[in-house]
Amino acid sequence: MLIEARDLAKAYPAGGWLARFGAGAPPTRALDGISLKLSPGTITGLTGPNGAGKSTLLRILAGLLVPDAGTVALDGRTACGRSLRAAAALSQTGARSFYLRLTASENLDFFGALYGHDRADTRERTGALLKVLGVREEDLKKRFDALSEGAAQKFSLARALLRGTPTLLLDEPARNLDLRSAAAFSAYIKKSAAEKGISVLYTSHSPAELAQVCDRVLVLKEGHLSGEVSGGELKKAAAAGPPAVEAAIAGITV
Amino acid sequence: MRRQILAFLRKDFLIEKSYKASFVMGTVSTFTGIAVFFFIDKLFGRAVTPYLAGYGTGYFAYVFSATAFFGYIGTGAGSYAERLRAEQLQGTLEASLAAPVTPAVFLTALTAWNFLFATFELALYAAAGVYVFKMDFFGANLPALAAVFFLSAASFAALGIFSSCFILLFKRGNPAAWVLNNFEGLLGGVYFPVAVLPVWLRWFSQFLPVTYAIRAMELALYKGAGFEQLKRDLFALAVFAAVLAPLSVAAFKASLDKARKDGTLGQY
Repeated sequence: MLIEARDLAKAYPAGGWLARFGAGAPPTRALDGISLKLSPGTITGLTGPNGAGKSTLLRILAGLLVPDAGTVALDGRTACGRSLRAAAALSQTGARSFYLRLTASENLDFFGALYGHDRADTRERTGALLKVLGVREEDLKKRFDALSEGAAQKFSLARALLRGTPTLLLDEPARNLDLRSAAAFSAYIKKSAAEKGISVLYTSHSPAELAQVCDRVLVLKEGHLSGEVSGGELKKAAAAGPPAVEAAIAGITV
Repeated sequence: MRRQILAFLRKDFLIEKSYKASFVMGTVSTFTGIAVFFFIDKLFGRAVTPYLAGYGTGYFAYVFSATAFFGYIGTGAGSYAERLRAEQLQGTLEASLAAPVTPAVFLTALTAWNFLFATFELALYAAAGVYVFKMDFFGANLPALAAVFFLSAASFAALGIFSSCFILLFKRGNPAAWVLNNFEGLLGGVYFPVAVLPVWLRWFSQFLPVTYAIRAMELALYKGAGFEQLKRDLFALAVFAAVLAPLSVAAFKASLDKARKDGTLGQY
């Protein structure tokens, strides 16, 4: 599915009700005129400093946040929040969006059912990824508040992939993962995107990680898209070796 | 829809089960509450009996059934805001609402466990009434009672959904819950018949669905009153339900849109 964002803008009010009467701090402008396309089967990287607006952009594309201006189109048709929520799954870092008193397996069953899958279907959809990520059977039976940050991150990724949406929005997916799991996830997501035609938006602060996973990389700064390393440039740099790719990405993020 | 409601039911059951003492203490509280009214009846029951002549029962039976009934319909009034707040604090609200679930299905699923547990409590009350306190429910008009239950539960659920809008928008501070908690019991005839109140307070009670709900329930239960005798109360409850239910779901949708616009759905 082709996702196209046009002129997205978002500002968060500061100072609550006072700000509405012109008092208090000015609103925080998170996004200002963002336009981008996510094509089927490609992984688009997104990087930028803290507070650049990456998470805001992902949340708008996932239909969890309404922009102040601009539109998002799915296959050329302007989409409402409900269509976006049906078309895109967002994976965010951290255990807080899970039920801490349920086991990992019970959490996956719950969210699977919300997405319309029965238990067997949920197991089938998550089994391959959890195996690739090296999740042990005992981790599935552990209560969520007893899991390590890394294990919680693996289940967050599994939950996003469980939905089977044509678009995946991955907010720092490799954060808290060990090197082996991070590499395994990179390989898995590249294969899934290519085979299933999934559009992926992948954020990270690591040029090396983006270079390894993405077909192109966008740079977001203070709510604007400030640069792009295209597929061609990535390939050219890749021919010169991984350090050149990292340098190409790092060069435009400075 | 069925799968999503069952998923919430299972999830809430598992969470409740993980707090082992909570279930036991909740059940014990139900029985201690019943015992308190039993002894109040021994002390003062006859003094208020004249006010209850129209219902054909004594104080204990009146307050016993009103408490059980109010406990059930009060689930609708209280549980939406309570559950929504719990989801906010756990950080799971936004994740649950990211699923393709309509607000109406989400609201139903959110409180399904509370209604199931309230039904269990109601059954406990009924069993205690029949087997422990030897109360006579056999003259009850069951179809009329069922209509009173349905319309009351719908009216109270609507009030509860309104209440949850405040939680969505302001997180803490819920004036709707404050009004429901403080005035429904006082003015609605749960602990004593409305006739005990002074005239000026009785005037306010006519604007509360609980007033009609309790009166109709008591009459259907103890006097065997049918649809004809209860038509005024049933009509009032039907108006409350017909007006409040769609308005409350619309208000919830609007509050949800506002929270998504402000980016506060994940906040607590």
